[in-house]
Amino acid sequence: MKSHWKSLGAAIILSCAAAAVVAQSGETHTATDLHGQPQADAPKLATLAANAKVEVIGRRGGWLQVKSGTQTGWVSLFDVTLEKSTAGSGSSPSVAGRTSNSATVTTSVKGLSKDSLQSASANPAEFQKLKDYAVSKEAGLAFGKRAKLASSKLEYLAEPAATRVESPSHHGG
Amino acid sequence: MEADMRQISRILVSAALIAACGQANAQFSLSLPGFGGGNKGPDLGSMLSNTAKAFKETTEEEEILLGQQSSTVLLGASPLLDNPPVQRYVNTLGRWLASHTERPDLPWTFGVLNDPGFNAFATPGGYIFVTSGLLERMRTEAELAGVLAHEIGHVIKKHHLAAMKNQGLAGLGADLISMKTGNDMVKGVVIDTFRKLLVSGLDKKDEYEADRVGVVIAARAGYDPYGLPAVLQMLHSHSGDENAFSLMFETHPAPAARLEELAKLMKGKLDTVAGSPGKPLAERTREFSK
Repeated sequence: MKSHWKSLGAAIILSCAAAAVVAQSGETHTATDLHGQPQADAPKLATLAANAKVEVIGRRGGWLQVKSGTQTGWVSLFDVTLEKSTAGSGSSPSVAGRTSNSATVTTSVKGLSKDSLQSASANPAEFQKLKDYAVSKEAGLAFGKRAKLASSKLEYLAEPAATRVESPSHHGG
Repeated sequence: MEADMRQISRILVSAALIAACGQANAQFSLSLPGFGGGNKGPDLGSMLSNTAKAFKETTEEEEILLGQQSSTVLLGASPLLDNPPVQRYVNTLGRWLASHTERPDLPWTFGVLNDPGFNAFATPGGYIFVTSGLLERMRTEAELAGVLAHEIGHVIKKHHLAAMKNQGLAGLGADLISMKTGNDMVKGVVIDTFRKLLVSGLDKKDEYEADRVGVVIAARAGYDPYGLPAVLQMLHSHSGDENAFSLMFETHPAPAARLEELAKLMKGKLDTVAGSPGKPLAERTREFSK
């Protein structure tokens, strides 16, 4: 089991490294300014047209570091669409392993589906395991302190005043 | 003996309500608040409305019990990942995030399901799940924090609870839905209702609200609030045709629509909040192995 997690860990490290080193292709879906720094009031290097090809090198907060032609700079995350992933779900690093209540090896890449949920029956024994993993509020607070995460007081964001016109396909749910 | 009879009659009444007129009942209670709305001073309409509301108000105990029953369904579809350090880590991170909400004392519990798909789930009362397939696709801890905070948003805004109540699950009584003392028939109805909800998904407006709430919770807890938008941007580069993403796409608004909603609120506001990207998962796993 331990080695299984190691491979998951390794896969994650690899994918992080990949994100930092190998650029991901994308394009702007609107005209957007290319800034010298990841902030709106930083000097503007250029204005990229809509549908401009970019290579995404990294991210800081709401800003993506991109290469556009010979220039490198920062654009708003919201203005870039990443290229459709060509990797199918089957090529993702496998986390298949022993389930916690049996020795069954999961080989399918198909995740939870409507069918599997619809036919699921209650598993109270597994719920007991879930409860055993729970931690106290104090443990959570100790983690935040240890990890030097700075709490701040922020109000929730109000619903946008101008509600978006829903397309018919968004109806229901 | 008399208590037994009362219990039985309550079960029968509940079951009848659920089976026969759950839908009608829900519509009735929805229409009541407007009944006395336009009138000034006390009137029968508003009194009735208040009485009905008080009667239908689900207690926190009931909410938690509904969440426990609902969780057993998810765990029936997928067991937990057998990795105690990871389970402890996700629980601890989740608990840190939840302590930055107005409901810090719910029995917040987080589980990693052993499932290669990309998904996350919330149930009433603070029981939250992510799949191992989602976990392995997180590029930073801030992204995981964003996903967990979105689910925490569903819990504090009681989205699943409201949806379940709309299906007639209100005022059942804690004794009937408890894991220990519960009535099997009533528990069966709870489970069936949650199962349907998992398949249908929540109302789109609830998803947008959980996004709005989630980015703020992550920011309050010291994380880069753009973790969730970054995940949505990554999701947008996938499609519902991929097995690992199909359920997520079927039960949520399109990632592009969710990004568009967040852009309206975050640009120029949370834009300037500097938060931590956190530590890599491998490092946290070592930390929680000790």
